[in-house]
Amino acid sequence: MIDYADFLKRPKSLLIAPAGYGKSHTIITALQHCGEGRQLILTHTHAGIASLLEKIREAKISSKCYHIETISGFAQKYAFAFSLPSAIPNQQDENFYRWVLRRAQKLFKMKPVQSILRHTYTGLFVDEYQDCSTEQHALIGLLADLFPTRILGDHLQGIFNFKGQTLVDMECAETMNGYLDVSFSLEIPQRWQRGNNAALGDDLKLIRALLLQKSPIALANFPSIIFHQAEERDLYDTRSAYYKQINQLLNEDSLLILHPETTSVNPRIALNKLFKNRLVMIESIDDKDFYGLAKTLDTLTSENVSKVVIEIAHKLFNKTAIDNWFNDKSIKNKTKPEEKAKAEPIKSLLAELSLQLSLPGVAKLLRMISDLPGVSCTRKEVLQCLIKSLLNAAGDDLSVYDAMVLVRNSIRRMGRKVKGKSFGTTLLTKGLEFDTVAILNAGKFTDPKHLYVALTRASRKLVIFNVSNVLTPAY
Amino acid sequence: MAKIHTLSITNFRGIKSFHYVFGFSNFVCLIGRGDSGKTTILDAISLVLSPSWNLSFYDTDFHETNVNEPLIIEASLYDIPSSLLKETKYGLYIRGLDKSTGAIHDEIDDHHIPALTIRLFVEKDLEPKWYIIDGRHDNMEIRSADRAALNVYLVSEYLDRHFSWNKGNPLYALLKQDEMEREKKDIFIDAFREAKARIDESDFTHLEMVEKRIKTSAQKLGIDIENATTTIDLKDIIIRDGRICLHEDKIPFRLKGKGSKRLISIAIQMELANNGGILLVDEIEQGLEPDRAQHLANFLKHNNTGQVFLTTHSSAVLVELAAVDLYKMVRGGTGLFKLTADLQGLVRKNPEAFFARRVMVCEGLTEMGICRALNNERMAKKELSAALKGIRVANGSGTTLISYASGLRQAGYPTALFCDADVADINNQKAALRATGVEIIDPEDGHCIEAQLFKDLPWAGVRELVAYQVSSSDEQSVKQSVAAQFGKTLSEKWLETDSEDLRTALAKASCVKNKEWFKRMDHGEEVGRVCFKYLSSMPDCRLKAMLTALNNWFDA
Repeated sequence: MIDYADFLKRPKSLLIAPAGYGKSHTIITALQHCGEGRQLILTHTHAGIASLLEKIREAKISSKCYHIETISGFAQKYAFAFSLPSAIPNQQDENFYRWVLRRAQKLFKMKPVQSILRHTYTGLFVDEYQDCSTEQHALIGLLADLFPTRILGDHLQGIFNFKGQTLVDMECAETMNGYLDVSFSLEIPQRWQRGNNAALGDDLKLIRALLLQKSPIALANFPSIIFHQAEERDLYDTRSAYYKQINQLLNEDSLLILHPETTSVNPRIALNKLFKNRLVMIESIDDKDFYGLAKTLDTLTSENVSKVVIEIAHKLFNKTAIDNWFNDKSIKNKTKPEEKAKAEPIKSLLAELSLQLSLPGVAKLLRMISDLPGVSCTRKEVLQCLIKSLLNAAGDDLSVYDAMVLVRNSIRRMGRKVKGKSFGTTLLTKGLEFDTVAILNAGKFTDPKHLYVALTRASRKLVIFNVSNVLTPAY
Repeated sequence: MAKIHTLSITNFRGIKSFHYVFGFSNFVCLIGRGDSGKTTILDAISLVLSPSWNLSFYDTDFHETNVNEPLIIEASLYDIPSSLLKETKYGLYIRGLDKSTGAIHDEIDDHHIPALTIRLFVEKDLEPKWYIIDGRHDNMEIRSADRAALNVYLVSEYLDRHFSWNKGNPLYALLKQDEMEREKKDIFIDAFREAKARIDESDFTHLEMVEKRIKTSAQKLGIDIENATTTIDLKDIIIRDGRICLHEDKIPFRLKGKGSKRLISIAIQMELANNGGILLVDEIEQGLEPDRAQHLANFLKHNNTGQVFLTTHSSAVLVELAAVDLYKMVRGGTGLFKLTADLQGLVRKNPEAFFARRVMVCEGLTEMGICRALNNERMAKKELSAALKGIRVANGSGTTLISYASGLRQAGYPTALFCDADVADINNQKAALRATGVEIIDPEDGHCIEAQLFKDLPWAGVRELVAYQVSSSDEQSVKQSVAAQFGKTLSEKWLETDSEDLRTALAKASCVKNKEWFKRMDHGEEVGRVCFKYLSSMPDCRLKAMLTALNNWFDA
């Protein structure tokens, strides 16, 4: 329990809040201690807003007491409100977000704008501070001059990295001037104690200490963690113990498998195929395939519809099954009655589309293909978004690409529910929690922050695969 | 709270188009002749900042009833209540007011202060809409409750409502300011409920027979109203806050005299204006004795923490104020003329000039008298009088006349200057003054008006002037003073023969310091009478040209 009065009254205070240590609860209790006026709560993602908001409402805190927004959303609101329309760059522009932040910084230095901020808010909370870019940190610094500012975060989880932006260095005394005067921190691994796996929570707390000390982690010392000694290459051998152990895990309901490769989706696609696409791939919001495939669909004509759809099918579904049903040009003629019954409707739909192309027709076609016996989808989210974009494009008279941009942006804004058996990376699953987590080739998580994020995704059961039972991140 | 920095009006009543920057003035007194649009300006302010959620507009509210063009009133405000400056209200719609230049910018800068622009927009459908506008966003509607925070009230003829507690009235606004400290109680409704309970108990037996018949009849139709009784419907007796108003003893304030009502109404609003607010007073002198009107104007000027706009037709009020408080409205004008500080003397001495349409600034009392004579002459000939023409003759008081004339001209008054030409320093300034559009009527260079008179009047006229002077002193002293100027003794029949030397001597004798013959209004009037009597028989000369110019200027 922190000293709330002290935490709130300081011009700047920092609360170190490791994952699962009750940070949301602390924000809510702090809000209840705030008294008169409206508190501004800034975070990074809309998913973050949604989960915090749910808890704030449960606590029945009056909506007059707070306003919650993403840092970029808040900066954008001011940048837009105080710029002439002609001076606002296109949102698709690659410098757009930089412009927003720079513009907001400039505005927050102006007295009239400062008076608006002061009239509106009496204090500031910034959640997940470790995810702030240096530009965002500069922006928050300007707000901190206006009202008491409390930042919450954990530098060990600072792994977000958007296009070349550097993250704030929360350990740098100069950067964090004023915040490090007094330290507030949460000490109890709440998440694991709430009927989950208390021993795992305690072990993760010890591992956290080791990571902060830059020490190697001997997994043998942590009995709550299941360790399997495994060679990386065995994973691709369906007869190996590694493969079988993973296959076994696929029976769990809430499962996350973490892969060390964060820059390319391909190793995960290959592995998922090996496991018969039983995992749902967690996709990066801006994965290029969403837009690339949408663009391919924009080239559709009544002449090339078969060819394009077959090309896309190869990207989304397992090759053997697609090859079983399609040749280069169209769906194969099937003789077995049960196969024929499946193939005929596709054939007639294709014929229809080659007479008159319709995007909803193509969407229907993709769904029919995914339902064919033996066909499994490697990229379920890509398929869903393509279908949605095709329908929206037809309905709103847009290109499929533009429809896709809107679909992805809305997911970016609204956040998404990740459930069931998922396959992801640390960057994609930050902030999420699963009953069971399996970390593949854990030694490859060389960054201590990535390793910490990976380990702390599990609330009940943590399984680690690695050649060595000692993990030594590159400190 | 809030003060008006800039006001624009388009297509509203008598105003086709109007734009004026009041800047940071806290006290604005609008002057101008009747129907020039002063009251329209006050009405425009009270409408654009009105706390009512809806107002009735009519075709006649449109300029020349042209409903095809929208009626637009726009006010840019500063010193805005902080409740409106929140991000959740209109904080993101502020504009930047540059205190050093007085300009309002859509692009905010550090040294700006926040300004909000409110626009009232009425089209053919007569539905008023209020928006906050800036050059960055689409228009944003502003709710009546938020406009109420601006605290704007108009004191005009219809102010009985100011004594009731209705929503949107000043008393209600005061109550709202106070309410945080006190618990609100519905004492009125409770009292009426009690009253109803007592009426319920009373005896309505005289209605029983009718009740019985209806009950029977209803029963036949299958409805049982056996328990029906007669009493009063609460709806008919309930009186809400709006009906509750200020009384003195048992007499409601609305029955008080007009002046008292206005003073009480202003007092209520001064209370409101303690937190800043805009007070609009139309014809401040209405119902008040000149001294009470003066006191009120003075009090408003020195005791308001907000902004006051008033109109007046009273010279008593004017002399109480500074020239820089005065803003002149001209009928059909697109803005106001702000009077400058160098007109202060003129305001004190000739307040009436500021209510005129045109002003004739005179060198002194002689010239003013001549103008009065011209007016008499015109009335005798059944020509339009100065009053009808809106002409005011003002005393330029000698040395200040140039600055008065140029100040009046700048304030938008068509101005003429009727003066001497015997002071080189003043003569040197005449060309520049003429260039600003002031018509100058003066004698030949080096001459005063008397010199020109005695030079150009036919001899008979000269003799009449001498006779007039003799009548107000005696022949002996007049003759002596002329002789002193003449240089030699005068014969018995010295007035029989016209001579240039004698004319010069007469002119000089008439202007001896402290013994001037004509420096009084009535003397001047006689001079004028004589001049106009001989005007037609005068040969072409400077005097004739001057008198003709004077008459033409009256006619213009």
